[in-house]
Amino acid sequence: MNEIVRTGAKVMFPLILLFGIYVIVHGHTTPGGTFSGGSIMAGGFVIYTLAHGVRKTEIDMKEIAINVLKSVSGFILIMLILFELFLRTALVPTETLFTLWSGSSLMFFNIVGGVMVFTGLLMIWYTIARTDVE
Amino acid sequence: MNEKIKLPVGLGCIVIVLGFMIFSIFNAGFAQWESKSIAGFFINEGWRQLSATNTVTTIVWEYRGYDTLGEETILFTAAMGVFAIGAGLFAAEKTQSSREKATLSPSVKEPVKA
Amino acid sequence: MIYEAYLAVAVLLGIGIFCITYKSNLVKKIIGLGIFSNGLHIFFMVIGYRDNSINPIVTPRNIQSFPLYSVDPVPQALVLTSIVIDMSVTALALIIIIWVYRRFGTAESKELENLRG
Repeated sequence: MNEIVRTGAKVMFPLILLFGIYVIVHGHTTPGGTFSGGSIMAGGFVIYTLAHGVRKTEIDMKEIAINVLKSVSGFILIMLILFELFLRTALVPTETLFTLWSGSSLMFFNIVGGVMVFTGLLMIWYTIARTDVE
Repeated sequence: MNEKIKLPVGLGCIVIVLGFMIFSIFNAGFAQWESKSIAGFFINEGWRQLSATNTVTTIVWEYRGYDTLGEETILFTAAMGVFAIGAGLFAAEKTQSSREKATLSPSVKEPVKA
Repeated sequence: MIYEAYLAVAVLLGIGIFCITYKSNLVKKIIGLGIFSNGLHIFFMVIGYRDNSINPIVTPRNIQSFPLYSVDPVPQALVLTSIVIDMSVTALALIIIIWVYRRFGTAESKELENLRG
């Protein structure tokens, strides 16, 4: 890919990640949630990989971090589900209705689920993209 | 599957699916879905009990959370399956030259005429 | 009730079944499976429509008349799960097609049917 495409992907990549994090965190007030935000974040990585090639992307972002994130987020989700009954009214107040800090324990579910979807999609994409590298 | 039974079976599937859809359109259940569906409880009580304004998110994570747990399990299983087959392909292509990568078993190139 | 949406669903289902049964390449069959699944998801969501309605999100303006004007939110939650499952099936099918191509040298179902031994 030539210089214009590579520079454009390098500039757009952090903005796409930021938009994906916004869709995930605001999942309890606006339409969105785990799957939409996770797909948007994985789409940012796909654009960077298509413009720069798989080798340079592996050097830039280590994939050990992806494995660690996947296992840690799965463990946190299981813990959240088991202890959700105690966390429900202790963490977030249930009187405020239209602000961000409302909806007891839904924001944590959305963040953890978004990280799970994002790492799962990244793992699928890198395995299929690496079968074509010589 | 034989060539002779492919066409009637395909047409039969299409007829069954379209018949089910047309029957469900003209059923009288659409006009009274508020008394026949469970959505009345979710709409009235969802945002009061949980104080979150997105009703779909409260259904997905609070009232039907078990289905979401199973869906995340399926997502992780597919990712691990893809990684397992991909690791095998990556190791197999390292030990082969690039010229004969696509013909691992050369006896299959000519199809046997039955 | 929207009558044009059901026509679009029927067209999508027909195209999906045609691509699965009458095409010989394996990747085209997976594309047909995706089209069929999307048609079925659209049909499942159009069922819960109501005339002159709003989306099921509570805002300070419609907090009084919310149960009278909102759309059925249950099919949307079920379709969200089904989309993820369809994506997982597609990913696994594609990596198996890559393995079949590396092993047998072809990705057409007409030539794969005649394998012996």
